[in-house]
Amino acid sequence: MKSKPKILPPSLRTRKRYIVFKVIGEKKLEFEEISNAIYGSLLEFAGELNTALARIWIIRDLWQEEKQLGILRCLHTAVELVRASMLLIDRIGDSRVAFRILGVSGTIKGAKRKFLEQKILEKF
Amino acid sequence: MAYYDLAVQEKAFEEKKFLKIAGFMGWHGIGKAVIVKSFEQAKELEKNFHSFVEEQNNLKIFSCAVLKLNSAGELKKCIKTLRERVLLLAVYGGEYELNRTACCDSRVDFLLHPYLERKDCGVDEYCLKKAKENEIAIGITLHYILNVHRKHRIALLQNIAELLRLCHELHVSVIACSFASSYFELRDPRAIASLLNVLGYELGKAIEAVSAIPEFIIEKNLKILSGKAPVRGVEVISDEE
Repeated sequence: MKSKPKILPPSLRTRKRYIVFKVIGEKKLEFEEISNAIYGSLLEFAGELNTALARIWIIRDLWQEEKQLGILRCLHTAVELVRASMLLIDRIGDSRVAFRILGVSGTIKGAKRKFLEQKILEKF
Repeated sequence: MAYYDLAVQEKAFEEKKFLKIAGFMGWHGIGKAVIVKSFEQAKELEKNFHSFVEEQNNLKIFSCAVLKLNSAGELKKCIKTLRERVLLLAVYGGEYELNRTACCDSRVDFLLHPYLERKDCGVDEYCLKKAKENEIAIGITLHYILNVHRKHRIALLQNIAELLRLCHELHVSVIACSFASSYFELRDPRAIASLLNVLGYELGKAIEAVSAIPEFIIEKNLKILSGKAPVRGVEVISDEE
């Protein structure tokens, strides 16, 4: 088993933001298509360096294909850049699309509660 | 906070889903822009504008005319014909002569994309000073950014960034509109503000470009056209004697 470095203390961790988005398209799209489109747009608009510095992670497990909803993680300083580059996506393959950013949250839990309307059972 | 997109092309309204998606995107009001290409068309259209504001699907729809003309003389004639018939009067920029004429005419509400098909931002210091004096906003449109790619998009964004810098320096109002021809070209207002921010405009002002400034233009024009503000700087507060 490969050894891993220890998890950083909270004060040394980077500050992240979770962007919840919905895709409005002519047909339903798969996670891979969305992921490639977002990375492609970011690379084209912001360049390799800024894309690397934004530390993007599109969360596969939270992609809801039925509702076309997804969550993307980035650094708190890159939120505006990611929003702007998502705005520039107008086509994925043959399908015309429009991205609607539902909101930004500091935690996955908050993002789910606020924008995906998932109830947190701990409170019951 | 209410968000307004002052210019959306008339053909977008023909799509069934358009109003639903515009509401979902977060817009509270939309300008239905009719593109006027000649003085004859302006004269014909004069009779078609019935009301300044309509309400559909909880969205306010404002009447708007975008003047896309070839000469300054024709532009002035069209402004004179349509000013009292529509709530929002915009000029389709690009040609320097037209940009300058629009900035110098206080009857115009906003000048759309003065940087279009140019190698510069399309306006100079004189134009922007006049625009400030006449309370004319400069409109950034998303339609052309979405429909060009690679080096053409770079040139366009470069011109917009330069224009935003000049507007910031000379305190000229900026508005952002989609000028969408389909609902796929609509975007949420906060994302449009983000684009302006990334291009070097202050975030607060970028948000105002889709909210407070369009709202100010609409309210100002409603007062003028309803006779509550007959002359600039004068407002009738009460009709009671």
